Amino acid sequence: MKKLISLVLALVLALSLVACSNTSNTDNPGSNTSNGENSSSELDTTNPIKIGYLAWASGADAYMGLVAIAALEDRIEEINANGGLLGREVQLIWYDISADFSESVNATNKLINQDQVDAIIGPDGSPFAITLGGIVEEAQVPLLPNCGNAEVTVNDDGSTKPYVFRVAPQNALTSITMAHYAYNEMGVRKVATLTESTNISTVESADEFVKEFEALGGEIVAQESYMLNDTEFRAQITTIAQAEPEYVYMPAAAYKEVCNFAIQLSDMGYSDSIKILGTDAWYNPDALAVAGDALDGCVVVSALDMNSENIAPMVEEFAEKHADLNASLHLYALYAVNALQFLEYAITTAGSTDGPAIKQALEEATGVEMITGGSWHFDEHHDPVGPEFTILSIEEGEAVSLGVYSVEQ
Amino acid sequence: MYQYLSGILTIIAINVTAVCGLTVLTGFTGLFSMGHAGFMSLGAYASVIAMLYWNFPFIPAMVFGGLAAALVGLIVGYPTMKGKMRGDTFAIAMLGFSEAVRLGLSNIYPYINGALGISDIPRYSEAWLVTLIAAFCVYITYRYTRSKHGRIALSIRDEETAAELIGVNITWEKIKNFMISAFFCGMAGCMYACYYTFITPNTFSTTTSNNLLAAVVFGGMGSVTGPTIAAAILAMLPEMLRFVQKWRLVLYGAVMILVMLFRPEGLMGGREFSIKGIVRWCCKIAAKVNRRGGEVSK
Repeated sequence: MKKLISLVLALVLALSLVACSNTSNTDNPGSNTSNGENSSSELDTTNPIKIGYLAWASGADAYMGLVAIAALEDRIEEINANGGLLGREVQLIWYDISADFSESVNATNKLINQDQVDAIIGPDGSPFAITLGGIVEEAQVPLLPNCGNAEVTVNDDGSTKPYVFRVAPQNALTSITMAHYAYNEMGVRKVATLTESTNISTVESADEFVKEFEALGGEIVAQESYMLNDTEFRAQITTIAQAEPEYVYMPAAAYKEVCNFAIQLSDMGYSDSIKILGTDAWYNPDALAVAGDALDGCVVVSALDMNSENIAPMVEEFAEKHADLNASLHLYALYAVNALQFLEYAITTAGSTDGPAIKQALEEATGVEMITGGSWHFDEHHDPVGPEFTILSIEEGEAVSLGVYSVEQ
Repeated sequence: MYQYLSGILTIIAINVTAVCGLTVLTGFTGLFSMGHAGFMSLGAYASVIAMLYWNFPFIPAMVFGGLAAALVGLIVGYPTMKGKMRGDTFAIAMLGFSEAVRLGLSNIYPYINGALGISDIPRYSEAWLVTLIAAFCVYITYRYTRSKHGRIALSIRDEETAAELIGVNITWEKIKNFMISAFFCGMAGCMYACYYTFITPNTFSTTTSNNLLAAVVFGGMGSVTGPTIAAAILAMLPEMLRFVQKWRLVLYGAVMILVMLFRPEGLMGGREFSIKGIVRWCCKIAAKVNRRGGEVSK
């Protein structure tokens, strides 16, 4: 028996070694050629355009990456059905990066050196993206991360990372918009903040909100924190309640913590006096399903209204097609599709898949229609110009749009 | 292809360096730690500050990071060892230490930028350089564990009361080995920071501590080469298992369970990997085959 097990283990290792050294993508289970039934007969499948994707595809928050992979595969299926790009088939090759921090570097090196991709989409987490600027610059492969920290596209000395193009709004912009809307439109004057204390994105978002809200004349009455995957918030709620804020700004990175906080706020009887201000980092149809009425009265700033006329049918279609995922289409998956749309535009415009040509086309883009709405282009720091923020109010477990809002108003 | 493989080699070298430290503490002294990621974190931050603010070159900064971690090891080690902490209580105390370091660093903004971390760290950790450093660390650890210090550590691990009766200063020996383990982890933290080029307090998490401890147990308590090989395997495995995509971490766990189930003493047990040993093992196998062949021909 021991020998049999040893044999099985040895086989697993041998197979994995083979897979590790495999330079061909055609039989990679993580790649999707997605020809589709209506694939054009003229499609060049011998020399595909390879797009890499760095996905958070395992662990507790695997829904972030798995939904995005499915959304990207759907879009690629559509592209290939319409003749591909430059007459060539498009392939998606994705790797999971959720085990530890070094994984984003390893996966990026693998995509560039082994799979020889033409461009990379993701990752959706800032700590994983910040380190990749140097690697993609050396390899001259454009990287389009869908995350919001300022340092993702800009070095400490203020210079722009030449091959990194962000396809989601900056955290700072989201927080500033929320601060202005709360102060100017809602008349809120006293806010508490609740932040995951070790998360770079939530800390940056909270800092920006506090700075802007105080500059406008508002008062931050309490600043509480929690740790990743915390489920118990009663201690923080007690402290926050004593400070008597009108709202709690909670820029969480995932919806689980917000749902638990809202449910416990309701259980402790504070749900009428204290409401949540949130961001699209956790706004997700699944959050509304989990927290139910507990989130009623919350106000969220989002780059997209998932219930809008354009998006709602997409969400429904996705749910039907990918029922096995048991997760709804979310905003960060749509940001990944935004990245793919930018690449479609750049490759078609440049007429080439060379890294420098794609980079130049991305820099010179004047307006590319995005799946999340509006037409976007990049500024000098490779941050997107064009995202519009929608303010959403949660009412009876449903997100209701209060309209588009921008700080210039 | 070179970049990808050299990246994996770098991670292996970093893990091996950290595991060398934990081998001295856990494998030889018998103290289980679930918080040595805390020392990696402290070493990383100390060395990065030395590089960015005081212009230290890489190697001196790495040694500085190791020394800073060892100093904290002394501060943490003295009360824990004096209080005769061992076994599960020590493991939990170290877990608490690691979390305290993580949360403490998240809230300190001068120099280290709190939870926002430090970016644009120079990428000094070239594969060949860190491999050389790791090999040197393995050699030093091997020599140390084969010296009288290693034998004293083994006596503490196997029979602490008897060791005390023959005059071993248990507290000092434990503190000494604890500081050595912190030093190696601190150096590994510096190497990691100079490979990843960006660190936050979350970079070195409880998972990192668990992986280090797993490598020591997986490789064999009382062996230096065993944990070294185990650290290399555990660093490579997630990459090797990429072909199963989202199931790879499940398979990674399953492989570890199976190995510990069928080889509870670890890959090498208390033995060391050596060319002579391989030759002896091959001879033994050949003799067995010959004997069987003879029996069949009869």
